[in-house]
Amino acid sequence: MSNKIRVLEGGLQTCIQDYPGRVGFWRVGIPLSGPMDAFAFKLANLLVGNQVGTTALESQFIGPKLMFCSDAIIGLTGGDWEPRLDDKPVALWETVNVKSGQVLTCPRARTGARLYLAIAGGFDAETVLGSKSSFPSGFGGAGAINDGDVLTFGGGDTVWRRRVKSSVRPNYPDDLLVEVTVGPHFDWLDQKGQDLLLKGPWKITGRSDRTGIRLAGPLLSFSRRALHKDPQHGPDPTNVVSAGYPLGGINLCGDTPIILPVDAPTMGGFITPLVVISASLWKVGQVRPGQVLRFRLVDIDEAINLRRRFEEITSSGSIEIIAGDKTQRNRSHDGGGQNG
Amino acid sequence: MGSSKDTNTGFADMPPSIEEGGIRFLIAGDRFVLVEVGEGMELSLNIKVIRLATRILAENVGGIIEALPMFVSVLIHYDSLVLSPQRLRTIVESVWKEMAGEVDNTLASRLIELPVYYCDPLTRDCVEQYSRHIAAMEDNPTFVAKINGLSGPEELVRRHTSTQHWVAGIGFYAGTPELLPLDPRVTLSVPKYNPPRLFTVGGAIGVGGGFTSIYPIDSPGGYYIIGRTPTPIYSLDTRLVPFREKATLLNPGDRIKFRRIFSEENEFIEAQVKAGTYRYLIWDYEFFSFSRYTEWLADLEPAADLI
Repeated sequence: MSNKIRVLEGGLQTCIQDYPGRVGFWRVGIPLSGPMDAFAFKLANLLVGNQVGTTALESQFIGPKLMFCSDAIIGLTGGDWEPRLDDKPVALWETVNVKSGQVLTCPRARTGARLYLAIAGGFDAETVLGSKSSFPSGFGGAGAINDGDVLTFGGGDTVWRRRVKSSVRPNYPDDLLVEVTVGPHFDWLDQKGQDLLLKGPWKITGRSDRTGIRLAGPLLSFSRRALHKDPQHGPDPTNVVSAGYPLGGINLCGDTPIILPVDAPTMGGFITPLVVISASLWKVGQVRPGQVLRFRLVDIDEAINLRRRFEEITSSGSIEIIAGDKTQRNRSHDGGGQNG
Repeated sequence: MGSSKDTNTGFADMPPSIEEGGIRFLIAGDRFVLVEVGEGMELSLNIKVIRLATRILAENVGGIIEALPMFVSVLIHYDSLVLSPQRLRTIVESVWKEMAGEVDNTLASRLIELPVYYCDPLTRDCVEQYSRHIAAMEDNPTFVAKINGLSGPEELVRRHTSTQHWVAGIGFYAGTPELLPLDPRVTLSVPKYNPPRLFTVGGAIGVGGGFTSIYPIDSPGGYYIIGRTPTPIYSLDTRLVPFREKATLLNPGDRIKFRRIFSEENEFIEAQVKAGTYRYLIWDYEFFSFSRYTEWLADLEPAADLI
C-alpha cells in the first residue's frame, strides 16, 4: 500500500530534491542539485519528523495544486505563498495534518522565490548517482513534476505538532546582503572594480534559475592581470583559461555577474572574483527578479564559523513542540540528524 | 573595504612563485580551493595537474571530497568543517614538492576510439535552424576549413582524424571534455558563435579556439559543429560497459582517436547503442610518455600538407 498525492497542477518546475544532493560528481560535470534554499528545506523535514536530507518538494514562484489521496503530515517552509488547504489558510513553518481528499494550493510567492513541502516519510523517487534529487533543466535524475502525475510517499510515523522558533524564521528582505569570500580571480579587478562588485547594488534579472542567477548593475573595471594577460586566456578581460567553478561562485561573463547555484555548470572560461559562502547560498535561492543584493566580504575563518552556525540553526534545536497539542505521537527517528 | 590581501588571510602566493615552479593556492568560498600551477595551456603543466589531482586523492585524507583537474589548475572540493583550509594547503604543498623531485613523467592514458559521422545531417539541421531563426550561418565544416586555409570539409576531416586528441579536463555538464590535438600541425583556430546556439544535438563534435569538444547531451552551445558521434559519452544505461561504474565515459589524461564513419555505419552503431550491445574500443593498458612525446615533437616535419 502506498500513500498517494495527485498533482492537479504542477506549477513552475516543481521538483523533488534531497539534501545534500549528488555529492562527488562535480569533477565530471554533474552538479550537486538538491534544494536551492537548504535552510528552509532542512527545517521543513524536521517539522514532520524526517531526517534533514529526506526528499521534499521544491516549488518556484508558482506553486503546485495537490490532491492528497491519503492522510499525510506535512511541513511548509520558505517564502510566504499564502498556501491554502481546501480554501482555508494554512500555516507555514508548522506541522500540518492533512486528511485524504484535501487539496493544497500554493498560488504564488508573495515573499521569497521558493517554497518547500516536506512530508512524513519523504517522497519516493529513483536514486540516480547516489541521490534522489531532480535536475529539472538537465539530464540524469528526474525532471520537474507535471499536471496529472501521481506522487507516492512514505507516510509512517506520526509526530508531535511542532513549529520553527520564530527567532530563526527568515523574512526574505527585498534588499539582501550576501556573505562572500574572495574567489580565485578577485585581483583581476582593480580597486574600484572590487569595491563596485561588492557594493552593487545588483539587480536580479529574469534570466535566473537553478543553473544561474544573473545580475545587472554597475560596469566594473579591471586590473593589469585581466587587461594584459597571456592571449591564451581569450580576448575579453573576463576570459580565463578554463578552470573548475566553485559552487556559489560569482562568475563574471563580460559585464554580467552570474551566481552559480546548485545546478550550475562545473567549469568554464570566465573569471570567478567572489564566492558566496556555503552558509549564505540559501539566501540566493530565495531572490526574485527585480530585487537587489549586495555582498559582504568575509575571510575564510568567518565563513567556516558561519557554516557551523548554519548547521546549528538548521537542526532540531530550532524546532519547538506546540504547547498543549499532543494529538500525535512520534515513535522513532525524531529528526535532528545531519545530512540524512 | 579591505583589499583582497587583507581579507584573504594567510593565502597569498606560496613561495616559490608560480613562475619558479610553485603553485598558487586560491580560496574559493569555504568548500572549494583552486590550485593553479601555471598560466598557459601547455601539455606538460596539464599532465602535472592531472597527476596532482590523482595524488591528492590518493593521500586519502578525510574531508577531501573530489578534485577536478582542468588545463593548468585543480579545483578541490572539501569539507572545511572536517579539514581546515590551512591543513589542506599543507597537504597540497607537500604533494607538489614530492612531485617536483620525480623524473618519471609517464602517465597511464587510455586510448579511446570514437566513430564520427562528419558533416552529418543532424548537426547540419542545428546550423540551419540557427541560420533561420537567429543569425546567418555558413555550413560549419565549410567555414572552419575556409578560415584555416584548407581546401574544404574533406581536408578538415582528414586533419581532424589524423591526430590523437588529449583530454585536458572534464566538466561543464555531464562529462564534457576539452580536447587538445597532440599533433600541433593540425591545430585549428576557430571563433565561437555569437550569440550562442540555443540547440545542439547530443553527440555533436564542436571546435572552438584551438580545441575540440563533444556535446554529451542536447544543449545550447557556442562551438562550431562539424560532425556527430553516435556513441554516448554520458549515459545512465548500464548495459553499455563503460557506464557500469560511472555515468561519464572520459577521464582527464585519456586520448581520443576519431574514426570517420558514414551514414550506414552510423545507423548500425546507433542501433547497437539503443540495444545496449555497442562495444566501445578502449585501449586501457596504454601509457603516455611526455619526454618521448617532446622528442617526437622536435622531429616533426613542419610541412603542412602531409595529409
